[in-house]
Amino acid sequence: MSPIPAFRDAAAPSMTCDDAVVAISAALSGPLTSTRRAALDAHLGTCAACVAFAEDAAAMRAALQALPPPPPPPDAVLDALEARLPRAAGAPVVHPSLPVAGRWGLAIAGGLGVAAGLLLGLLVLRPPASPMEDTGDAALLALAFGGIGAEGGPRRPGGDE
Amino acid sequence: MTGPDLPTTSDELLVAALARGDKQALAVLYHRHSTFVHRVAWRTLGDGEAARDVTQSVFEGLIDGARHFRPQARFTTWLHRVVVNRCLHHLERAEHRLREGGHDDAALERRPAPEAASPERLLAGKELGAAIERALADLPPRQRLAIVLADVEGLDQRGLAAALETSEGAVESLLVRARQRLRATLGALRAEWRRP
Repeated sequence: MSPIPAFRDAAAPSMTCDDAVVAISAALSGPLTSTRRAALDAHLGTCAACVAFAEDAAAMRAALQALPPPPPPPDAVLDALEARLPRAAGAPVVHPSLPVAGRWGLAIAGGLGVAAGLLLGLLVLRPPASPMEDTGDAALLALAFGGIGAEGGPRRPGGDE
Repeated sequence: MTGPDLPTTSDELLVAALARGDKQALAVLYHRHSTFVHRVAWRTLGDGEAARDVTQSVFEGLIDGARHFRPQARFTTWLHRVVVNRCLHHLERAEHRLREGGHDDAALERRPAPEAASPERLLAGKELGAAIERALADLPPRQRLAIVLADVEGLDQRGLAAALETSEGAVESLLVRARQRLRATLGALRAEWRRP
């Protein structure tokens, strides 16, 4: 439906040129409310300057849309993105030259080395164990993985308390 | 996620697949949206190398952030915001370089030499296009992005407000100032760009 000519629309609210320019611009990006549309039409019916702005704005929009499209992005962009994908997907960051089995082996060997060092240090430096001391597997494992301490560690029966 | 379903799969589901490291999901998202990203960056920044950098940066952000994407969010809203932010960041860096006394070679290169802007030469459509691009490049960054997203990409007021992370009223104001400035810059060429 074509808009009602402004001079016949006595009920349309008035609009200043500043408001009209904003409405003209907004109308290019989507429909106006019926009230605003009526006010704009009424204003355009009496204002040659705003009619010229409306025509220019529409023509500039058309000219912008007529610009030749830029070329698509080069394929190398997608290649670079795909190369980034595994790390972003939560995979662990690994040394590329070391196979998985080798990495696990290295970790286990390192852990055993630390455990052996701690055990040796304890045997050499600590005083002779009391006869009540538990020297079984459980105690060795606790020793190797840091279970001994002033607080929270396994307590020897009949210890310092 | 398998091949035949991918072209009709929603963006949001593709992002979820991408979070699991699905290379095909990345490819579909890229082919679906990279042209938009690249075009907006090209129109806003004015040169191909910068547009390529922004395009890559936007999709890197997608890869890195896919695991944190909320399924209820709309993918295109997120995408538009990231494109806007990346373009603004690029322009800010270029402006900083100019302030520090450097030269934005790409920007200088894309602008026609002063003598090229004579009315006679601008009669040719190609020259008119160059003049429009130059007028766009002279707009402040947010006005430039608003015009590109509104007039070239056809986003509505709500979409513009979401992309620019502002109110619809502020978008209207940005667009009016951009149109007035473009009109003043291109005023001498009115007969050309109003030619049907």
